[in-house]
Amino acid sequence: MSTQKELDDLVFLASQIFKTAHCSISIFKENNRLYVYKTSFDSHALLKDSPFCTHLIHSHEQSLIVTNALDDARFNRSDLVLGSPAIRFYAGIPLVTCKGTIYGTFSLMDTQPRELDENELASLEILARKAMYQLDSNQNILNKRFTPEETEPALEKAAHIPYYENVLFELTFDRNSGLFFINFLSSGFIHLYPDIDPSLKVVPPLFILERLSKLERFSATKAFLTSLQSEKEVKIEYLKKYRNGNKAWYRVIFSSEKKANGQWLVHGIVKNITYEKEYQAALKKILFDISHIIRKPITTIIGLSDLLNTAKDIPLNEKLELVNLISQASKDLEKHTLDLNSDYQDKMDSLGLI
Amino acid sequence: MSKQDIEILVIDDDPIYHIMITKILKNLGFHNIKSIQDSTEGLEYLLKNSSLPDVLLLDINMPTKNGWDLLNELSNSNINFDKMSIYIVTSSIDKCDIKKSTQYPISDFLNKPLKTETLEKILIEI
Repeated sequence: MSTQKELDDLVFLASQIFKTAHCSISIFKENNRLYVYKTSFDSHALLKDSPFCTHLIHSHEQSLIVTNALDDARFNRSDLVLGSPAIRFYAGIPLVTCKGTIYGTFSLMDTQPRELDENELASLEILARKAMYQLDSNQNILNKRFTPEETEPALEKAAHIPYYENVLFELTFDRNSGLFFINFLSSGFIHLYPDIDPSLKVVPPLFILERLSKLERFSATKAFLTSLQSEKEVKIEYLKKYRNGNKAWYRVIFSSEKKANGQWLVHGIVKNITYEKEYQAALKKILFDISHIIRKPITTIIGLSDLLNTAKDIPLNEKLELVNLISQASKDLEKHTLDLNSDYQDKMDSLGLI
Repeated sequence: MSKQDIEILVIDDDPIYHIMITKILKNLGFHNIKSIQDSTEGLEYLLKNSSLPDVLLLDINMPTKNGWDLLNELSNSNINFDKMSIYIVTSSIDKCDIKKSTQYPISDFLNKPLKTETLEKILIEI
């Protein structure tokens, strides 16, 4: 399902749960709202200058609840409260990643004052978290400066690209059960292992190990043991092939430390490094092309010109032959540069860079 | 060894390079030159010929078999090529290639364009 549809669904759910006049997910970058999923209050200006959203983002609070804006000195002078549509109630949760990147807000608004009880706040938090999962996986797209018109298809496309947020995990040993557990400290893992229940925060290592191929399992276990012995940072990189034919490179970095109670704590990150790998491969290809394809005719041209300059007593017909060869090598050089240019151009096209 | 006796084998896929190197070598007084453009054919020549050339000027990037592969196969054969001086002559300025060259029993890694003086210097030492 596309990100847009997922977010629309979440907004619809919110409108059914809270029965407020307005529900919205606002996504923005550098305070310019980029994309809005909403019900009711069909005014873009309203969303653009909402003092509630601005306050929520700048306050760094985990939520903002205003039961009656008229009684709240922070908002009772706002045009949205005094004028149309005369907002009284506001509840909002910021959409913030574990690294502190703010994507936007999940907001409820109404023209009647109202309260939000504990369970309702918890529901809003769950909805905001779900929206966060969606946005998390599309971070790379949102980071680019798309206009709203361009964003929609880009977000849809992004749903099929295996690029995900870092996965932060912690491996702990539980004395009572005598078992190791993996604590996920960020939400990115659900993209690595789509069959794992996203609400799970703690899983046994076998849960992950049995999802790896034999070779991956072997290198993961080996790296883990090395890390325990050396207490040094261990880095492994592996290529994951998905059933749908997609491939992605991952880098796992983790280190272990012995705690005072004699237990081991292992913490690390899993990062999708597919782009990094592609970039490296592209650089290697350029280096190869310069070294072998472009330099070959260049060295020939230099060599032949030197020969013409230094060799004594060359008959005229041989001189002409050398000049002909130089011209031939120059044409080779031109052909190679044109070929490489079109090669690189095609590659850029396929990556959507042009 | 006199210049006339020294046998030089050039394996490189670039036909213009062959014309150029042959001219340079002849100018220097070396006339016993064998030019091979296909690396697989070059390897066969080395494996089947009863006497090895004194000098091998070998390119790296060639279509059928690259220079490193050729050296690997030569090493794995039962032919003793200790007496043959092997020079890598390539347009490559790739550090990986330079690094790789240290794994093989070669005399030197030379960059194209090959200067007449360089060639003269190494051939005089034979």
